[in-house]
Amino acid sequence: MKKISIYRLIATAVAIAFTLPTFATNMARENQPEKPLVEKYNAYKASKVYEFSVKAGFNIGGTSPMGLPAEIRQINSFGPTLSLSIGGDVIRWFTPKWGVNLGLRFETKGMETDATVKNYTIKLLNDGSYIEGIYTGDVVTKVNNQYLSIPIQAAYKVNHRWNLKAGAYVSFLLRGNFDGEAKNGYMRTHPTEPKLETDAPYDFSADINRFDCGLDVGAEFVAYKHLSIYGDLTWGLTPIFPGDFTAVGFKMYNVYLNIGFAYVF
Amino acid sequence: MKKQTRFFFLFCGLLLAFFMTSCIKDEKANVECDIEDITVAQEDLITYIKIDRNRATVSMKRKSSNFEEEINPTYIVSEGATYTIENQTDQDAVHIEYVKVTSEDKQYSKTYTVIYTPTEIPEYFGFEYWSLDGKYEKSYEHGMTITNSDGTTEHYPEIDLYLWDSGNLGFSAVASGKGAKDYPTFSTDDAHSGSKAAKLVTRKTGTLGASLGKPIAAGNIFLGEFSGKGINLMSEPLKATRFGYPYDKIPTSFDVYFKYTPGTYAYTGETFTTREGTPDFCAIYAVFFDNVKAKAENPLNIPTLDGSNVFTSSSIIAIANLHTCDNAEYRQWEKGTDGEWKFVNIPFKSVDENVDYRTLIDPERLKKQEYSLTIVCCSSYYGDFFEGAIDSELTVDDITIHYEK
Repeated sequence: MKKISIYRLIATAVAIAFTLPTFATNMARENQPEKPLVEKYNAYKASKVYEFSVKAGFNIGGTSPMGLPAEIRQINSFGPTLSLSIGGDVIRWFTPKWGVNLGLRFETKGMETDATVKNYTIKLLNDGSYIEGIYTGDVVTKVNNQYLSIPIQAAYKVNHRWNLKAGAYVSFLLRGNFDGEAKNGYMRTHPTEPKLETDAPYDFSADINRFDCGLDVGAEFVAYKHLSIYGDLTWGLTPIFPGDFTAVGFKMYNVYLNIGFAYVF
Repeated sequence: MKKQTRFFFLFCGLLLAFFMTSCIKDEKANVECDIEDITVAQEDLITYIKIDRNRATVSMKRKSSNFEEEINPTYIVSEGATYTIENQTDQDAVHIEYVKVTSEDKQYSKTYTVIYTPTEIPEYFGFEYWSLDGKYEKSYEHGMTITNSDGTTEHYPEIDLYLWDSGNLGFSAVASGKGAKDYPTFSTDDAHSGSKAAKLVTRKTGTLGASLGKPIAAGNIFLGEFSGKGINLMSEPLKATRFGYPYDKIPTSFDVYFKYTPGTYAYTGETFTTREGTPDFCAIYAVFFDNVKAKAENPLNIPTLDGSNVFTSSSIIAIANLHTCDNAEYRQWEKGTDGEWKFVNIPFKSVDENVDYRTLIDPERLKKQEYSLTIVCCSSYYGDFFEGAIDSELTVDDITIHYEK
């Protein structure tokens, strides 16, 4: 149910993004007398205070602690997984140089890591309560979170090729997945309790924060008249798990680079 | 244009580099404080070393005449940990060291009681003595008798010998907030004689256990050691039960008093769906085997059998199993005893019916403790395969081993 309504929202956003420029063009036409085509176009460009774009790209990054905790001894592998994003932006230019960028992005932030850990705190959920232990071995973590994100940024036009943007984003979790497995090692329920060589799966999907916000800094390069390449670094400032969640012994944040193409109307 | 493209990639590169800066920190001091292993001067004097949570038994073939020379133990402890011998006592055949192991970070320590002694499987077990071993109970023998080579015996009334073990340690990985009596194996006041008996109950392992394909944990008690070392408990759980201790007599049969109430419904996993709906039954058996052969067959090079080969190993000399014994009345009781205590005497039988197992035993090797004996009791016969009815209850008491005198 939730998913369907989200798709509808995106469809609406895209539809608005497509239809608004037509209105703008019509309005521009009404207010101006007949002129040659080139002049007409240039005038339109200059008077364009709203700039619309649709974007498609992917996220590469990590849901990671800020500075790895000492319990993580080695990262054996890191996979960004296929984390796509689609959305649209509208920039309102207030001066020829400065504007405000508002967007809507449906995106996945995901990754897969395999780390060697030592005395790493794990909590295993059983019948609704946690069994706490420490694990020495390998921990595989799989993150795949779908968000609906709204970036709000100040936009600065460096020249006709470059836009820089800086601001913040808010994200709403649509579907969260955070699970993994501790393996190739042993667990103890306490440092003084005996070793148990065992694998231990865990799943904290249900505990992920429904809301995420952070900084969003980006740049856009207009490669062709309608096509630009963009990159946005989204740096989460709210941990992905709530404050009272202790099953992961450190706070983790979404830090992802969103790279892709934009079609500018 | 070219310059700008380059600028774009430089910008992206800088961003990437920015969050790739998370780096591996210096290693924290270790929190572990285990005795991992014990090495002694004369390895061939040792029959087995059993290291528990905070005690260890180093069983010797005979009394040590010179501990410093023959044994002189070295403790291999957790990485970074240190140990000191806090105290030691010497009583002729029994040498005890109290070894305090402190973790590298100095936050945790354990004092192990390490007993160096010749051990024997006693003739009789009353299940009278139980200690709380962390979160669950363990049965032990209070007082120990050893037999010298000349046939004389010595009794040490103060020595506690931990010969029985159970799968409680494995259950601890799925037990959250469970008391000792909620574990599969624990003591009960409902005894046949004395004040205590061993109670074995098939437990549900919860959502976590079920997700791992181990929906139940049957109560079990056996002569041997449950160890989560050297094997992966998830992929080869049958190997955690190390069955048997050296036995230098020829066993003929064993007696046991037991009560059995099968569980209310059968719970089967994926492997044996055919048993779904069939009534549960208990396991009570003893196995006598050649421990030299068992050691050669064991990937960890230890002279024990385990759940995967306790009925099939080529090292087996004789089996006494309630399930396959000749007495039809006894066999009925494995399905339930209507709340009454039942006495059974189960004789040992050769694996090959045409051979008398006594002829397979070399008397010289018997003296050298090259044969071992185990007794296993379990509340669900296929509990080792995680098959059984929840709440099946087996109470055992007063086990007597008969042997050729």
